[in-house]
Amino acid sequence: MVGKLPAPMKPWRDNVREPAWRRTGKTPDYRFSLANERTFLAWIRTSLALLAGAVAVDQLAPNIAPTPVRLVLCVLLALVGAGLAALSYRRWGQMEAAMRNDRALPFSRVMLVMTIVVAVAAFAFAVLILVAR
Amino acid sequence: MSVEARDPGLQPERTTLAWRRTLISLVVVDLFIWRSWLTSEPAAGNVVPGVPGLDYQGLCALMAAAATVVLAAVVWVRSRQLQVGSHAASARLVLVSTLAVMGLGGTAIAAIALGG
Repeated sequence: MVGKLPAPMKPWRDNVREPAWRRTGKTPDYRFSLANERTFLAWIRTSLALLAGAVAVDQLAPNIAPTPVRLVLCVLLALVGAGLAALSYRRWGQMEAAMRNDRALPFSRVMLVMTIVVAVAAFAFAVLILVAR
Repeated sequence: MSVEARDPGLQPERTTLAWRRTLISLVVVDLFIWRSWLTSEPAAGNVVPGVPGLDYQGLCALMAAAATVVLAAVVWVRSRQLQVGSHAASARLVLVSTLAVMGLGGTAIAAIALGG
């Protein structure tokens, strides 16, 4: 621990191909790195929940709306889920890059957009459930 | 290198558990995709001749299984890393898990489109 290695993460072979931003600044405290990793995973789970919701509505509630409407709604929900997975990777990188260079953590509109998407989807399905019966 | 003797936040443990929760969430999506295959009418034309049941829905079920295997491998590797020391995840591990989830998203869209 005395002679500090310049390469922060020696032990693993798979950091040979790290993105360029990983070699900038200084390696953050492991607690912040791991918290960032868990935040990434929380977003990934949100994305998985949207996917599960999309497939579940399609299969378990076939009469919720006419087939084309139901298909479009479910495919849209699944698309948002897949896109959110990509966004969570990007956000993970942005967060760590900011920590490495002692910048403020980037503000992201993803949270606002996701709030609106989930609220609109919930409202739409609530209306459909009411209309379907 | 080594974890500090006193880690009030139990950081590696929480991170390992977060990875496992993520794997469990992925299996939930799997179950719906597999159900979609099992409840679908067997298609007349198989994608691969000679393999019964492997229509396009069957292919979706296989893709979902593949995504699960990939994420399970990442979780296994990451859990082992976290047992040794609390280093940040390599970008490749994070990217591979993202791609597995995105692949599962594509599979889910295909399963929805086929099921309609």
